This record gives sequence, structure tokens and C-alpha cells, in this order.
Amino acid sequence: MKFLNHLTFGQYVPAESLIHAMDPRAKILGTVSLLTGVFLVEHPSAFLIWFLLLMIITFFSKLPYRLILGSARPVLILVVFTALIHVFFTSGTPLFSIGFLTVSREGISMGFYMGIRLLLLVLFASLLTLTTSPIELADGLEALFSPFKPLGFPAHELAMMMTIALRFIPTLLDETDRIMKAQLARGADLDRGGLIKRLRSFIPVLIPLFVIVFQRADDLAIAMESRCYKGGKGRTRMNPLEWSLSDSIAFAICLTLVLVLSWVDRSIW
Amino acid sequence: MSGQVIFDLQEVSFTYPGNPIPALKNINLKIYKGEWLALIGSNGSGKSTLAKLLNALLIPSQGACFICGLDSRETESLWPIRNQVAMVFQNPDNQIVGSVVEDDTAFGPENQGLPAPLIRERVTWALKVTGMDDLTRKATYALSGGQKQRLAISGALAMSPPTIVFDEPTAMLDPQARREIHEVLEKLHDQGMTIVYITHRLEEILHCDRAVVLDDGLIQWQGIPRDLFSPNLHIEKWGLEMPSIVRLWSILSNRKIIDEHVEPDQEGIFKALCQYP
Amino acid sequence: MSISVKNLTYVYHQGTPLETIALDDIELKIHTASWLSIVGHTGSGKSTFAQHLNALIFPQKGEVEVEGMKVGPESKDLRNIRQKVGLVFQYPEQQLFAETVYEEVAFAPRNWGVKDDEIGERVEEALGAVGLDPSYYARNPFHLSGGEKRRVAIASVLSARPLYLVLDEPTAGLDALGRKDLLGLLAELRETGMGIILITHDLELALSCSEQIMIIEKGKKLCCGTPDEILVRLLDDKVHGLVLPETAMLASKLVSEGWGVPLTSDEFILARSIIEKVKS
Repeated sequence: MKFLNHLTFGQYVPAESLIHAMDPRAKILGTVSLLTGVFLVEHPSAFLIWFLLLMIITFFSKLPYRLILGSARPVLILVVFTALIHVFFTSGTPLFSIGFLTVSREGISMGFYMGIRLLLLVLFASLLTLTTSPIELADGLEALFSPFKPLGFPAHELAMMMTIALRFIPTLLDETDRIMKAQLARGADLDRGGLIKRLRSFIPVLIPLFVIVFQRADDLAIAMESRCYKGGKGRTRMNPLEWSLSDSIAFAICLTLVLVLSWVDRSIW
Repeated sequence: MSGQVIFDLQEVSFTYPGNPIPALKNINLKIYKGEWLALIGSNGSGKSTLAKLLNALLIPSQGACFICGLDSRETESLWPIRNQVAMVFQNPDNQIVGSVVEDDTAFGPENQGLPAPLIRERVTWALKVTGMDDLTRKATYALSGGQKQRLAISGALAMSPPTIVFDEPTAMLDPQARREIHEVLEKLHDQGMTIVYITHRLEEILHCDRAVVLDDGLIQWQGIPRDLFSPNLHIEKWGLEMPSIVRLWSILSNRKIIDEHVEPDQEGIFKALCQYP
Repeated sequence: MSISVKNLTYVYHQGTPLETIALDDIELKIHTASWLSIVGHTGSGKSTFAQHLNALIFPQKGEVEVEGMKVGPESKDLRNIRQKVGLVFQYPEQQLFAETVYEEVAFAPRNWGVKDDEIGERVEEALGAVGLDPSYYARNPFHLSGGEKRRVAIASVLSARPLYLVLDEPTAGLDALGRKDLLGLLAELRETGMGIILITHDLELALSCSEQIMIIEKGKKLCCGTPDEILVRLLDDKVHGLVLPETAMLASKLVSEGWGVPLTSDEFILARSIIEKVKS
């Protein structure tokens, strides 16, 4: 499954840019506030502003526009599917019918804007993961959630789980491929038959995968212990997070934009 | 090699829970500072179990294991032991935690709670020693088997341990990668590191200071690696196989064609044979 | 009865910045009742080649024919080809999934449509070939030792009664005894008429047991011949990533010094020859 190499969704692409250099906490908070804005603000003109912002951030990230826009490709089907659901199942003034499905004016509008919103969601999220390395993301999330640690929230453990999961995704995909091939070589039929038959035929792939994953978890735990891991307490970082003025400004811009547009949306539009 | 004892195993036995047969029986072994010790045995001989006892991943069922003077049975010794003895395991993938080379190398020192500039220094040094310094930002899953193992060694080195235990580090590697690992080990040995090297391949132990053979949970033999190749030992009974060049050396020295003090490798035999016109 | 490979070319990720040529114009003929080893370092293309032989991958250029059946997307004989060419992956014990050894070994023949009354025979035959008796039938494959697991995994490919057996690094992770057992098993299968194709990076291993060796580097077939022929070729012109056996290098040095010893990696033959020369 080496095609993963040129799939950009969720992948980190290193570069020397303003965006890459930002504190991950600012990027996460900025992204969350922008996404809130995307789903909160209703007036269509706001979408132009969101797209403009996306282009501006992409420009500062020094990553090719093609890369950012291409990250939406794997989820395009999902976006279109969701949009269509809204088109067909929103009630309102009917325009025309296809069979038993009625398309209303509100449906088309809903479908279109929901589609755009989902697209923006994916694109902003991709911008975040493309410009932030896995360890920065984990550190950023852990730091943001650490005020909740005294309340029992396992911020460090979740961040560690995320780091390890991200690290092993390509490895696991390769192994799945290998096991599938091994079972195909033994005559397994992995792509014929109805849903139930196909699920059952995947047992010879799933069981070995589970065994590998559990063995790996065992081995990894031992290796981590040998490397002096004892939880989050007392752990330092090679690249500690440093919040700077530019991070405050960037976050402030995002937050202000969202607040202003929401206010304008409510009062004028 | 100074006389300081790093590992002192006294009458150590170990049985895995649920197993009637002990994996190790009455092991008495001392390993000294700066030594490169080879621990040899076939699969099932107990060598991996012994390796895990050396950094307190396992605790003896009977007897005591002292590591740098600390008793591994005491919980407060665990942390200091793990800071003194690092370990590199067989499966390169199952030791790597980070997605990027230098992030993974930093894992150990980060756990040790060191300040950021010191971590950065250690990581840079460790990656230089293993020859990975041009790959610092590379994705770990894209590394070759040999590179992954070198990364694992970097991760161990970055904790600045005086001792590293290698549990069959080349078992899953191809010959080229095995050579890469050996070069790193020779460098570490020259720098005074104490190395415990576990393997079943005899061609890997020729540069070691001492060899210990395990079979059936017992120490069967110890001495200098050269002496292991003496025909009177019949190492096959321990499940071991002589490398073919050593077998050639053995045949020739038995027939007095070459002197038994000749090195059991290609160059040694060649030089010895060159004396003939 | 043969597998014929002509002008086989395969490129991964064609047209992208990650384009890699895995196989480049490979030409080869493999017969049953023979032992061929394909030797190359990691990344040389040998695993890609192996997967063409049982139609897991299709050629992009050139052709692969197994017993007259073409390997390709339009072929209707793919399952037939896969039954005739058994493929044992590296660390085959990782593919175990069944509740009993019997079920594990019965999996392949069942998939190939073998009738229920014949399955028992196939399982017994396959397990017998790897040295496991019927007492293993009801045992849980996950509770077996490493060596036993590997044997069950190989049996689970043999039960399909393939004409050819392709093995990718079969000695990986085995100690001296395990390796000897495995090579013994393969030699027995070869005697019964099976075509053995061993994929490995261990040149010394290949030299010690093969009838024919093909060296592959960067997807290209470098040379093909008997172990002796290959050794001569490699001593002449070192191949990146391949470690020549020390005995062979010694023999080569001696030959260049005027000793009339054979160029071989077999220490017994070399020793005998050296002793002869010295005595004379």
C-alpha cells in the first residue's frame, strides 16, 4: 500500500514557513474557531471569505495549492453523498420529483451549502495536519487538555495513543496487504459474494492482523519501558512548545473574524 | 577493560508463569565494564530470558541479579537500572514510537526528564554515531530494516547509558544491514561501551571479548570466542553451527596444514597458506 | 511443464514522483522437478517477481505463462494458476487464523473446490510432508512452538498440491537446526517432482542448495546459472548488497596466487583440494 506516499489527507509535509513554525496550540485553536465559524455563519458570502482565508494561509504555508486542494479528493464522495441526502430529504417548496424523491428549493440550497461546509472542514483540517508534525499535534493537544488533568482527564495518555497510532498506520496497511495476499495465494475469495459472505471471507485476514497487533503492543510496551517511559509525569520535550506574539495575533485574527461574521450574520444578513 | 562488575547474576533461575520447566537454571555470571560479551544459544536456550533479566524487564524467580550494584528485585532500583542499561530488541518496527527519526530518538531522553538543549545535543550525537545524521527528518516507516535498527540503537544511545544489551538485533535483517549494525557496534566498543550481544549466529561473535554459551537454561561454556571453535567441543550438541570458513580452518589446522593459532577467518588462513611456495 | 517469463517489466507508482522500477525485462524459464534460487538484496525486485508467478500481480509489459496459462487481468485461469503455484510468504506463521491445525491446512484445498472426502487425505499428506503427525489435528495453531507454526503454515500451502512452491526468505528467524530441517523438507519435495523456487538475500544459502541461481539487481536479471557459474561471475564483478561467502573469497585469492583450487563456497571441497596441493 505504498500509494500512501502520495495521498495527502492527514499527512505531514515539512517546509520552512510561517505556518509550520507556529505553535501547534495556536493552529489547533485557530482551526477549531474557523470550523465553528464555517458551520455557524449562514450567509453565503461568508463562504467566499473562508475560501479566501484558506488561500491566504496556504500561501503562507509555502505548500502547493494543488496539495491542499488534492487532500479533499478521498472524501469528495462522502461530501457529494451528504449533499445529496440534504437535497432529497429537506422539506420545503417542491421543485421537481425523481421517482419517490422530491427535490425542494430549500433542499438544493441546503445540499449545496452543506457540501461546501464539509469541503471547507476537510481542507482546513488538512492544512492543520499538513503543516503540523504528528508529535507537534500530540504535544499541542496534550497541552491544551492538560488543565483537565487534575479532573482525571488522561490528556497525556490520549496524546501518546495518537502518536503511536499515527506512527503505525502505514505499517499496518502494509501488513494488511501482505496478509490479504497470503490468503489470496491460498485460494481465499475476498471480493465475491454478498455482504455476509464477504465479511466471513475476511476472517482469515482479520484474525492474523489482530494477532500481529497484540504482539506488537506487547513488544512496544516492553521497548517503551526499557526506554524509561513511565507515563507523562516528569516528561520533557526536545522541542518544547513556545507560544509567541505571532501565535496570539494569528489566533486573535481567526477568533475576531468568526465573531465579526457571526454578529454581521445575525444583525444584517 | 577495568574490573568493575556491571552485571552480577547469583544462582539465578527463572520460570515463566504457567510453565513447568524453568527457562533458566542456577545461572552464575559476572559481566565487566567495557566488555563485549556474546551470549550464544539456539532458539529456546533461554538467552532472551537472560537478556530481559539484565535490565529488570524480568525479575529472577530464584537468586539475585545485581545491575551496577542495584538489586533488580527492588522496585526503587528499576528507574536507575533502566537509566544505566539500555536495550535493543529483535524486531526493528516494534521498538519505534515516533513518526520521524529525530522525534523517535528523543523519546528516551524525554522520558528521562532532561532539559531541551541537552536532549537536542544527545539526539544529534546519537544519530551521528549510527550514521543516521542525514536522515533526521525522515519518516520512520520509510526506513529500511538496517536503518530502523540503527534508529533503535540511536534511541538507546541518546539515553547515554554505559551499557547496551542487544537481543538478536540482526535476526530480521539482510546481510548488508547486518554489516551496518556491526560497524556501529565496533564503534561503540571502541568508545568503551559495555555490550552484551545475544545471537545464535557464530559468525557475529568473532570480535567479542568473551563468549558464553547457553543451552537448556544452563551456562554450558564460557571463554574467548576462538576457543569455541575447537573441534573437541562439538558445539552442534548445543544447536550451534560453525560458520563454513571456521570449519575450513578447523579441518586445515587439524591436519596441521596451518597452525592452530591462525585467525579463523579468510585473511588469516590466506596468510598462513601463503607460506607454502 | 514450465513457467515461462518473457520481457517481464513492472513499475510501481508509474507517473508519480515515487516511480520505482521493480522489474526490468526479466527472461526466465522454470521447470518442475528443479530447484531455482532467486538472489538479490532487499528492494532488488525479487518479491515482486515472486508475486507474478502466482498471479497476485500482473505484468505491465512482457508476459508470464504458467503451464500455458497467461497471467493477466483478462485471464480466466487465475485461480487455476494460483492453485498450481504455491506461495509461502516470509514469516508464514503470521497468516495462521484457524481454530485447529486441521482447519488451517484444510483451508486451501477447500477453497480450490476439493471434495470433503478427499480433504482428510490432503491434510494428512501435507502435514506428513512437514513432519507433523495426526496428533496435531485438533491442536490450536497459536499454541504451537515457533518451528511448529512455520511447519503448519507451509503445510497449509502444500495441501493445495501445487506443482511449484515459491518461498520468500523461508529461513528467516530460524536457527541452525531449524534451517537444516527446512532445507531437508524442500529437498524431499524437490525429489517428489515439485519445482522449488527460493527467494532469498542469503547468497551462501542459495549456493549450498540450489541447482540454478538467478541474481537480480535493481529489477534486472544480472546472471543465471549453476552455483559454480554464478560464483565465478560474482567473484569477477561484485554486486552491491550481496555478501560473498568467505570460503569463496579465500578460494578466489588462492587461485590468483597460482593455487589450482576450485572456485567454490563448499568448505569440504576446498579443504580437500588445499590439503592435496600442500601434500604434493
